[in-house]
Amino acid sequence: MSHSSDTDGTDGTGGTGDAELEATSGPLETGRRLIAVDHVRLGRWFLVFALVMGLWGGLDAVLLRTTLVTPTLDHWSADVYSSLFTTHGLTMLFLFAVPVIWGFAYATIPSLIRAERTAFPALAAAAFWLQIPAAILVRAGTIGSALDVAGLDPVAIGWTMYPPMSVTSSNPAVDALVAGLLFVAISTSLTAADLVVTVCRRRTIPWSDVDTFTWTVVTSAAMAVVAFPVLAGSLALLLLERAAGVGLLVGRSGPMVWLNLFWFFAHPLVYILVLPPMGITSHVLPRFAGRRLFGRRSVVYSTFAIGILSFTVWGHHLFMAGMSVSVRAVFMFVTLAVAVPSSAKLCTWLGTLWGGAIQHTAPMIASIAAIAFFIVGGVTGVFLAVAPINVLYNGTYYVVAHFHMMLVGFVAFTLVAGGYYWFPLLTGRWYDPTLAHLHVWLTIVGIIVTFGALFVVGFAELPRRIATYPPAFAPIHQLATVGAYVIAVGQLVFLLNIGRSLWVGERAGDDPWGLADEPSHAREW
Amino acid sequence: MTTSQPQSRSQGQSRSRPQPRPRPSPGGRFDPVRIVLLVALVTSHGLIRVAERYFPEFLSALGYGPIVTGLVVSIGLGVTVIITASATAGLNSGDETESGDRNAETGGFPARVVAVVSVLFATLGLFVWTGAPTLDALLGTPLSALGWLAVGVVLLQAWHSFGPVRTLWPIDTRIVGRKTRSTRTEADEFTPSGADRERDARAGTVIGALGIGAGALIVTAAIAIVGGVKTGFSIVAATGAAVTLVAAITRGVIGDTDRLPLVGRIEAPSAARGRVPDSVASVRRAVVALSDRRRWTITGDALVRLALVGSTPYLVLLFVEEQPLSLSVGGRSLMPAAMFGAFVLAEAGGALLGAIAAPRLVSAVDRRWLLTLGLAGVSLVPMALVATSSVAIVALLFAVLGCRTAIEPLRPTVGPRIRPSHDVSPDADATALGLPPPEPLQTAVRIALVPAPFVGGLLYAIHPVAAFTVATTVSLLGVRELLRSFSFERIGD
Repeated sequence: MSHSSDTDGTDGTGGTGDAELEATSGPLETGRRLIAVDHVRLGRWFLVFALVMGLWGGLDAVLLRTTLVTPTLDHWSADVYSSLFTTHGLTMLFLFAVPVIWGFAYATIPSLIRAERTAFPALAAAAFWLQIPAAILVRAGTIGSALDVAGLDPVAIGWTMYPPMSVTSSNPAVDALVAGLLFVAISTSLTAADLVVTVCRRRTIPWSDVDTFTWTVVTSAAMAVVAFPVLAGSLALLLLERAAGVGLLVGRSGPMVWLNLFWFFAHPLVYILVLPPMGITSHVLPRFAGRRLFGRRSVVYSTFAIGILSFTVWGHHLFMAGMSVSVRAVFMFVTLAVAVPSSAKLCTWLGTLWGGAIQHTAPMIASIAAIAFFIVGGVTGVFLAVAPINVLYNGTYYVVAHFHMMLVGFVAFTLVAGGYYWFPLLTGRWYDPTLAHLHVWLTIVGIIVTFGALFVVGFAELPRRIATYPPAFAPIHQLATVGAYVIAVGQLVFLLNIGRSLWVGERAGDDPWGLADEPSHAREW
Repeated sequence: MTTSQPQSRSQGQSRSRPQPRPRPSPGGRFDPVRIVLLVALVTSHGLIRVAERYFPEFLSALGYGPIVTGLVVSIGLGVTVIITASATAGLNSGDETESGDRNAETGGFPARVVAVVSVLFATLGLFVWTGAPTLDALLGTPLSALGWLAVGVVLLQAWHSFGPVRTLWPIDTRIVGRKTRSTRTEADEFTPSGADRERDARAGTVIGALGIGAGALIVTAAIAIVGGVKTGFSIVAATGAAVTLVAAITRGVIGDTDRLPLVGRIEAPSAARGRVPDSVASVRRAVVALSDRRRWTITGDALVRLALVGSTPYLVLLFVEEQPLSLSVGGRSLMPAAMFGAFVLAEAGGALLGAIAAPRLVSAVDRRWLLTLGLAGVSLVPMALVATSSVAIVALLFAVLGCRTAIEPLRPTVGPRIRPSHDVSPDADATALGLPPPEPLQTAVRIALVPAPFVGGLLYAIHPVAAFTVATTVSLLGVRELLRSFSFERIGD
């Protein structure tokens, strides 16, 4: 682990080591220490922040699944239910998934491209610290409600913040939420820009040697540089609309303006979240299959293809909002086209596994499970791209099941794989493999049960985002709740493993996976 | 579900096949996987048992009365008897060998598979309970909520018959098998003997009480938050289904038994558990072969058990519907249904105290007196519960009921064989308290327990006072049998 200032004294600040920082004291030095950090430490900060927020967002999910145990609202109001799915979605997407990806990127990419440090380390650290007030603002409604702050109620407008509800809501927590997301957009744009410049300018290896994970991150970061400013602009418009009532987002055409702006950002967001996990899968699989990645070049090209196509498919979210048949057809075919590079990636993974000497480590099992969930999520997504089917299922649990299969089944699971694979790099210690296997298997079973059940109610066209439902669907919803509880327990096992490993875990060496002489050796070790 | 094993890299090892380095933590008391399995199993135990305590009230909320409740509970007990009997049928047919019967009771399946499957059956049973009111609407079946609840009861019997923690407290209100004969089974490799077994039995009581306590806390919180038994029960059953599923997966992942916690050790099959008596004649022969004292002791203990099995299902109905008790603390009130969870918590607390005090009591006090007075106290509880309307007194009575764990080691139809540190009365110990009943008689006692809940339901339907008074009466009759056995009046003759 030659990259870390913890071990070799180098840092990401152009020469100021931690030892020097620790030798001084006072508020100024404390401030410097919060800004002047090496990339691995910054990565760890992102990961810890993401973990905390992920637990908070996960708690929202457990609570909203608990409200769905019975078909009627027995205790909580419909507003509470709506606020739960609003904060769950926002927290998991903006405060968990995005930071965790940046965390892995900072922890590994400078080493993978043989860069001494990132391009703008202080800017990157500042972008990280911006996430803290952002998180507080995004969750202001929940915090205010818990602390009994007058006027602050949990936000219940949905994570898509559609007008007119987002405009007319008198809850001041909505303003806080929009301001918080604005901070997230600024923070993410800065982070993404730092990563893009780092890979482009500080790389000391040729492009042809850049690994697949770095390719996906740089593509994803470039997409974020384009997409998040759109979000920032949209949110500024929403704030303006709420404060001054300029009339751009209300009235006859106002909601369509928001729909187009929001989904032009939000669909690429999905791929911003999906591409780096695809890179992790491509990175981890060969390590435990005992061979090089099959079709490496096609992996890189398909990454570009997905990145570009993702900016052209937002229209399929608007099929229900009124759109001419010809425009629908264009968006339908472009959306379907995304399946081609995605399938190419799948083929490379299967080709890597084929005939490989598979080692059943926790990261490998998690990767294989993620691929399986990717197939299910991908195939069900193809159906949603088809306009007539989309019209039928757009407002149902089918969509919930599909995107959770992608975001939890594939993205989160791949992040788990990456977490275990890079655990020795991030902590210098080993995890307990049996606990890791338990975590992985609990999560696999939980995902199958939960989202399998949601597919069933989705096929029955049960509307989503509604706290009550016909009693006949109760057992299936209860099954989904049982699965969600199992996933939750799995994450507790994960926390136990992390805590135990940090406390008494065996120290890992410089080449913990024994890859030094392997064809699949990577530069981060 | 393969766990990577530690392997050092030798020079001769293939370069193309390096092994991962993470090593499982060494087994031991603080093995994290052991702890996860222990917590999952004990919480499952607590949730299942507490859900069973609330089951009659859930049935009542769905519109079914105590007779139906009794019938369903009795069906459950009957199924346990049949399952354990069927599983051991091979033993009766004489195919048991000295060393080859490891999996005889489990139909040739490894203990791990049996454990996982029994836990999965519990998952299914609890899930069926959760969805029982609406399953017909979903599947188009004509079973009704009651039918599905009965299906859930039947599924749960796999947990009671073969589940890894089936012998955790309380075992006197269920039909739970125990090891009675020393044949070489998987259990023997991990189950200690003698003093260790006595200690483990006590640990089983303590762990079981902790599990019930946790379950009681969960159910109290759930009902207090949602404000009703129907929803609260559904949430508890769904939580139980999730936790049992976690337990099954954990058990499957662990694989080898050397990492099992204490409660996991007792999952292994015991050879002679639940053997079916060949005929009524064999029971008669066993009874005739007993000395009078042993017969009276076993009969007395069985009668007390009969009264408990017949009356405990209706305690929830008594304190939620007949004489509802609520509690207000700091401006927040606990409704009667939630309050019952607090009473169960008190019972678990009493059980904990009893288990801790048991060794000292057994060695310090005359065991005959201890057993007689203890069972007499337990006998009076049902009637006392009907007669009181104070929350504090009811909680105290539940705690007293739980304290029966202090005398459990001395009860011939329940406790393990425990020798006192010094013999108070060699004759009495040898003939009455020192030995378990013969196997045919044990099974006969189990069969006799089956109709008790149904009879209790009939009596409760007539009047709650009738059910609990009869329970006390039957129980006191049992105490009287014990007194005959011990013949206190003759001591010193």
